[in-house]
Amino acid sequence: MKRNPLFAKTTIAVTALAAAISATLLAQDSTTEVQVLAQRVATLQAEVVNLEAENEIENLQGIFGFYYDKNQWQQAADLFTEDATLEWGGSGVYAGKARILAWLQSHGAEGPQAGVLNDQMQLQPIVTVAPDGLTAKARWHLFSQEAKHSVEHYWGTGIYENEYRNEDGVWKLSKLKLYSSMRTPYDDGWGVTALPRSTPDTDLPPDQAPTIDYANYPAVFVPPFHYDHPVTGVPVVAVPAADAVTSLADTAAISSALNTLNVRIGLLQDADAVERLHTIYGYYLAHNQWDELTGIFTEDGTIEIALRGVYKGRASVRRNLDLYGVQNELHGTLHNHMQYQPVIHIAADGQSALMRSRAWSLMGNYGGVGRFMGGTYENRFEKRDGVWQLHMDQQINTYFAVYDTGWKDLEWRPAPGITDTNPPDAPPTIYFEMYPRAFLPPYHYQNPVTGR
Amino acid sequence: MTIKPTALIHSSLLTLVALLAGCGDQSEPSATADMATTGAEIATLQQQVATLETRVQQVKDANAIKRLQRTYGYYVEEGLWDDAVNLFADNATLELARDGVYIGKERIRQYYYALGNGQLGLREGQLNEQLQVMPVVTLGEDGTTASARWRNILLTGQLGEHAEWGEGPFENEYVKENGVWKFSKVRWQQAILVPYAGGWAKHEDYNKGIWVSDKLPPDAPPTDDHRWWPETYLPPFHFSNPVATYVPESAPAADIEAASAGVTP
Repeated sequence: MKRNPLFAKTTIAVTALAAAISATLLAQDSTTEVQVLAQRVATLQAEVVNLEAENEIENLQGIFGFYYDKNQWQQAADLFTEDATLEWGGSGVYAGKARILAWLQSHGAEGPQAGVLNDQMQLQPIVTVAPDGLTAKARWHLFSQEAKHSVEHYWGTGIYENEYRNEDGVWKLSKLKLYSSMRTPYDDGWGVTALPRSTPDTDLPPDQAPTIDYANYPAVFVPPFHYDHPVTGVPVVAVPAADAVTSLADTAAISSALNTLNVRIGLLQDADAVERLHTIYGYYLAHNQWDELTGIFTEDGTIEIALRGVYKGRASVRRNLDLYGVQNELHGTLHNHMQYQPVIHIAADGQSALMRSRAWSLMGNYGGVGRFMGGTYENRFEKRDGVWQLHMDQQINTYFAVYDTGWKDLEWRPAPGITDTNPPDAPPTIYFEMYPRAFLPPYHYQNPVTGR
Repeated sequence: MTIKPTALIHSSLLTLVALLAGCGDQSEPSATADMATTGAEIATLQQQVATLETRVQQVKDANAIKRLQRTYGYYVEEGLWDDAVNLFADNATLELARDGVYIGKERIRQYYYALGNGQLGLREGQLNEQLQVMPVVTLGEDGTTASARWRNILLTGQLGEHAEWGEGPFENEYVKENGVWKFSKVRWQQAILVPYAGGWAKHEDYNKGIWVSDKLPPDAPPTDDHRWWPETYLPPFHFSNPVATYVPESAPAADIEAASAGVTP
């Protein structure tokens, strides 16, 4: 472009003037804007840290429950801080990890035991992470099914008010406190017999007497809440660390922080989506909605339940579901299959997830036979075209118990196994035993504290 | 996202400066060019932060709704009726089992007190465990409404008198008022409530879905005409299939029927 030198000079002069003015204004304004941005990003960071903590603590408590189920005392004790305390009903207080391990070990030999049912469901979490993201408290509902074969069997409920601490990036239990509420022998039920809360063990005396005096049902007692009323109370809000804003001094630092946050928020949303999908699975299963249920599987997904073998691909999954009843038809049939206590691990790339969860079912026909089913899911989910889908559904049953019998005198039987008239595409990938035999369903994860 | 007026003025000025600078010597980057980059960069970052804030808010909202519902369970199982009622919005509705619809916070308070025989807290010897499990939370587009399905497991009774197993799904709605989530609608369907001795195989529903409406008539009749166990029905879902409903490849109906010969585990 041919330029008029004079015009150019004038232009340069004007430009220089305008630039000088605006640069000053801009410098001030952009500094303010960067500071505002830094503040918002720091707030986001603190919120994400606390949301991640909520998920990790839910996983931690769920993992504790699955270890406790199977008498894995060492693994369970390893989830505690060195200075943690445990108080279970009227046990009194056991102080320190070593004492907690000793208390756990007083409940039986290490590992799954033949003739022992010890399912301890960890339900209904209310996790409150402290503003600094370093400690947390949580309320949980305990719902238990315990039995010694040929000897006794019980239902139990309780409320945990627990505390947790983040040590070097790892969440641990720092205080486990169970308020037992109801305990009754299976044969009687809670309308007939209510057992009192436990008393301190004379063979393994606690380090401190019970911290609170209360009685189990039938007495009335409300375990204190660690948190305010969600509507009328004051919410706990995440607060950024003191140096969080200053470390976001320029646009480069902010941009980099945003990239990290984008990934972490994505993983939080993934965990929500996976839990939601797993739960929807249960609602469809409860009403024999086979086409809806089949539709949440990946096209090459598998279902493997009750040693029936592996059914692969949607057409086979759909065929497998025919084994459990006629689609959408349920008159006088209870088919309530519940899923809870999920332990979810999303892969770093956000494209797949592994999940262990509890299965508990109320089944049977009016005028026929009622049954309870307890079990464990170890599932895999995959994100296909941006949508989470169920890729591998594997359920390992702990028991099928006839309602009128319960667990005490439940005779051993194998899981249902292969149906010749509607066979699987492949044999079972894992052979398991049901109560009263002992079996440990493999975990997809290691102990989150020790890595073992 | 809000844009400050000063930012707009400065970005116009920036454009002017950039245009003027474009007419000058371009042999080396000037201070003004840096400023242009910074301004555009800040706008981009603001956009990104706003998007992430929205996404984090969605996670927080879903958690808040779970907290609300689980807390409802913790209050109700102890007979803490006032605390439970304070989880509702002023114009909320409540419909449990076949009791009909109770409209507004005051009527909802009357309902819960009727459940508790006029008493705050449980009676000596009463068990009222209500486990809130299996959340499916769906947030509205506007960020101030939501729906959720839950399952409630009940262990109820009075020592020496009676004991029941109960279960059924909630399909609830929630509203965010002044930044706080509340119930706008609680609807619980009672799939079963049966005596402990014998359970669901031997007994019809214990109360035929009627808890207190015989003593405290509702403001509106039940929203559906479902009967009670052993009648079974599917309470509608507020959500659609998150993936897709499976459409089988054409197979003769007879084959499907044959394959469907129910085998119970």
